Amino acid sequence: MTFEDRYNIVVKTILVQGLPMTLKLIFASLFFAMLIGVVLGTVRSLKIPVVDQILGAYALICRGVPTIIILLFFYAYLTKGTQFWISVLSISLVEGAYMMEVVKGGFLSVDKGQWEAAKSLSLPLMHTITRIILPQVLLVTIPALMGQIVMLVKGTSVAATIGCMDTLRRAQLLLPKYSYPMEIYAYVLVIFFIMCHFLTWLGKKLERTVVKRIMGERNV
Amino acid sequence: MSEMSEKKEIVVSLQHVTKQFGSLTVLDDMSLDVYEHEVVVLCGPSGGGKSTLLRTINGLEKIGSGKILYRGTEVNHRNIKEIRKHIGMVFQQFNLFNNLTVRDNLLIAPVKTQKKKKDEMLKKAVEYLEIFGIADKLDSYPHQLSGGQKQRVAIVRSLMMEPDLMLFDEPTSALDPEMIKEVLDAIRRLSSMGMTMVIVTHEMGFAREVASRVCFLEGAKIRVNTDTKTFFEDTEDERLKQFLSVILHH
Ligand SMILES: Nc1ncnc2c1ncn2[C@@H]1O[C@H](COP(=O)(O)OP(=O)(O)OP(=O)(O)O)[C@@H](O)[C@H]1O
Ligand SMILES: [Mg+2]
Repeated sequence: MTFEDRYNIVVKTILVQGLPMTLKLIFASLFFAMLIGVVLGTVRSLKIPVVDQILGAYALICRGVPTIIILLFFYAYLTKGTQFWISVLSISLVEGAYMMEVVKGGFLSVDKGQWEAAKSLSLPLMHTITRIILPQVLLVTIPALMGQIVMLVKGTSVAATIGCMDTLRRAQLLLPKYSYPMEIYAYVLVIFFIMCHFLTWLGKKLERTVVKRIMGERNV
Repeated sequence: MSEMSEKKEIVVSLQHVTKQFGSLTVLDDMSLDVYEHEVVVLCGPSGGGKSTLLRTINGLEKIGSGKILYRGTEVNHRNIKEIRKHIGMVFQQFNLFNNLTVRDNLLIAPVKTQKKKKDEMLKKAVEYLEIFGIADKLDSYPHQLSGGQKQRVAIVRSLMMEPDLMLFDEPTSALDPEMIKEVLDAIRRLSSMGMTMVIVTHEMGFAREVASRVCFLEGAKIRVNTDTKTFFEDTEDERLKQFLSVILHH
């Protein structure tokens, strides 16, 4: 391969065309997965009969089946929607299920006394959750949520299987033209490696900031 | 006696209250009247139902049968939220909101929920903090306070609601000895202000000093309910005598 070939592969195709799609997949899926995780995790912690069983089943299914199968199922089943949105739907549902369980676990870890104090002060339930409990839940769940976000970033590459033009798919389409699959895949690998480690680093910084915001200058 | 002539109002009245956890009876037909400006101390061996009794008063624990009247009104699930606003509760583990500063701990209920004016409430908060000697802690987080300071903040948090009745569940049991006094002093002050209180405590010296009445709970029953002097000096109850001899010589 010439230098120009490599420039075309790495810059023109992977970085300019593929990466933006991967980033779009990441941010859209992350938004919906977090939304699902925080809202449904909160609902789960309230242990409402029937609702809780439904959410339990949702968690069981989405965590017990490979994402790629859920993706292929929706791709075959849904007649509307682009490959992008079908991918976002599948990834959000799966990662949302994991985050829901993480958030629910966070609720269990908050001392019962916090609820009782709020109750004895007649704070409305919504207020108790949003101002007292949820901030403490998010604080304890940041490490687990960050781990889940890294899984999500890696997981977006399944979108390539239904033809969503992300980093991996763009790279795959180059294969017939160049006879260096190892090198081309190596570029994709490096991009994902950098993204995940950047996120992990960002997560640690974020954790410190959030801890400061929520708990004052505690060194935890 | 002069006390008898001025008719005192009953703040809270428990009438034949029963409570079970599964098959375990924790409150067995308990009746208790708490009069205005009275300080009622509850004591007795562990598991006797003291905490449960206290918690039924502000509805943290539902009762099985019997009834609870607050200023003559029967407490039910519809009016409990309203009634709770008049009842302050102080917990053994303080239960300050960990993610809020002292300021926000004190203001959240009156300002955010009761929509009272923020600057007025802040002024009031600072006044109370000054009374209890912790005015410099306004911007601290709970984890930056000592146990005694936390408990005093918790007391102020209840006072911000201008309660009509205060409930204390072993307010000093989680504290180191040197901090017990500062919290007891805070409660003494409330007593001198005429606050009606029900206090669960093992601090018998303190009970003797501030209580108008002491109840001895054992085996889900109120075995003894009498004025403080009789309780400590003149009791007939064998179990109470035994309890006192153990706890006073401890
Ligand atoms: N939520 C609960 N579920 C089941 N049993 C409970 C519950 N809360 C209390 N109990 C039981 O009820 C009984 C009375 O408990 P309670 O906490 O009222 O006693 P107490 O007098 O406050 O004791 P202590 O001095 O140890 O605080 C105990 O046997 C306790 O195990
Ligand atoms: Mg107790």
